[in-house]
Amino acid sequence: MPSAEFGEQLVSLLPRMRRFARSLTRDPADADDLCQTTIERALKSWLQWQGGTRLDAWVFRIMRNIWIDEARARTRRKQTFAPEEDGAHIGDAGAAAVEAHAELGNVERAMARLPADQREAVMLVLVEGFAYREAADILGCPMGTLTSRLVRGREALMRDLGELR
Amino acid sequence: MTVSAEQIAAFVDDELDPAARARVAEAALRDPDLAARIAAERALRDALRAHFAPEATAPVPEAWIATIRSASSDNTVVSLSAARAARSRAWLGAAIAASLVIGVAIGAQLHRPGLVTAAPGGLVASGALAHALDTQLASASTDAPIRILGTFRRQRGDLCRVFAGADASGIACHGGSRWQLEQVRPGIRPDSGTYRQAGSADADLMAAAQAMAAGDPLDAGEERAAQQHGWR
Repeated sequence: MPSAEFGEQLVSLLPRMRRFARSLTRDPADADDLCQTTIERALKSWLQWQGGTRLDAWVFRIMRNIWIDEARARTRRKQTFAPEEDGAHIGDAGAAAVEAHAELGNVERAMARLPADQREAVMLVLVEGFAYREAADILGCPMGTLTSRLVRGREALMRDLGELR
Repeated sequence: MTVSAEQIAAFVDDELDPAARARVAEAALRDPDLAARIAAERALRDALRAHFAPEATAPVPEAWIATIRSASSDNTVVSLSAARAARSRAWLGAAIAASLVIGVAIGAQLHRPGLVTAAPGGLVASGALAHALDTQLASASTDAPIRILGTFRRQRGDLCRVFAGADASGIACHGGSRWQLEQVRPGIRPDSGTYRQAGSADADLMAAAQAMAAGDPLDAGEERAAQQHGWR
């Protein structure tokens, strides 16, 4: 059974979990479903968390894996073709919907236009502040893959958000 | 010196070692374009952080917090004692039976490495433990190396079994194809000598089981029927 300390740490992560879930799913309702599933999974698998390592990285990895599985299942249900490699472009279906909301800020729109693999790399490193090594572990990819996604994501964002220059 | 896009990013993200960092900083002093690029990268990061910052402190659904707190141990102590107070006759009987078990600890050693396996969704039973959960009936397993103390159905409908062995004890629930470990506790070891002194540890496990259960534990007939249906 998870310790009270584990529980309280998890509680303190909830807002960031929700933020990451929204960036993965691009849909608030899906994001909340994803959070709930992640909470259940984390409580069930708490023994696998190595005390002394970052709980946030561990929880984010669980969340991201659940989402990849879920997005794959959805893709199969819809019987549409999607590249299977690495889940790179899965989960982008919401991007068009997000862009349709005119009231969204520039940053939100620019993020929505990024391919999923670049968006998650940008979220983890630039917004969440994970080190490259930690972000690569969360995404289950080599460091080189992470840095190239990061560079491409940044370039696309800077093109979109030209006024920052 | 030419500075790659990766190096600029790593510079802004503070991922360069001190020597490489100094080289980029020095290059930026001589190259206004590079300096502007670094400034733009910094501005991008600041803009993203500022944009997403409010979400990091926004309130989340109370239900999530309640789920976590009720599943972590402090509150469980409270709910367990409440559960004990409300213990039904059948559970009381099962707990007493468990605490009275004095089985001869026969020599069959458990296969230590194989009892529990980490799977993507959590811990699952394997080896001798999976075998015991699949095949042993609580009504007939007092001198087996792994004892099955009881079988019950959880609120969500799946079947769970309480087990106790020298290396591990706990509660496992049948997740379709395998036994997902919901609770893992230290093994309940036979005292020095040949008789088990397992009473209070067993009773604790049964109390935890009762807290999870939707109703009474299965009786011998129901347990046999559940086994014939593949523990579904």
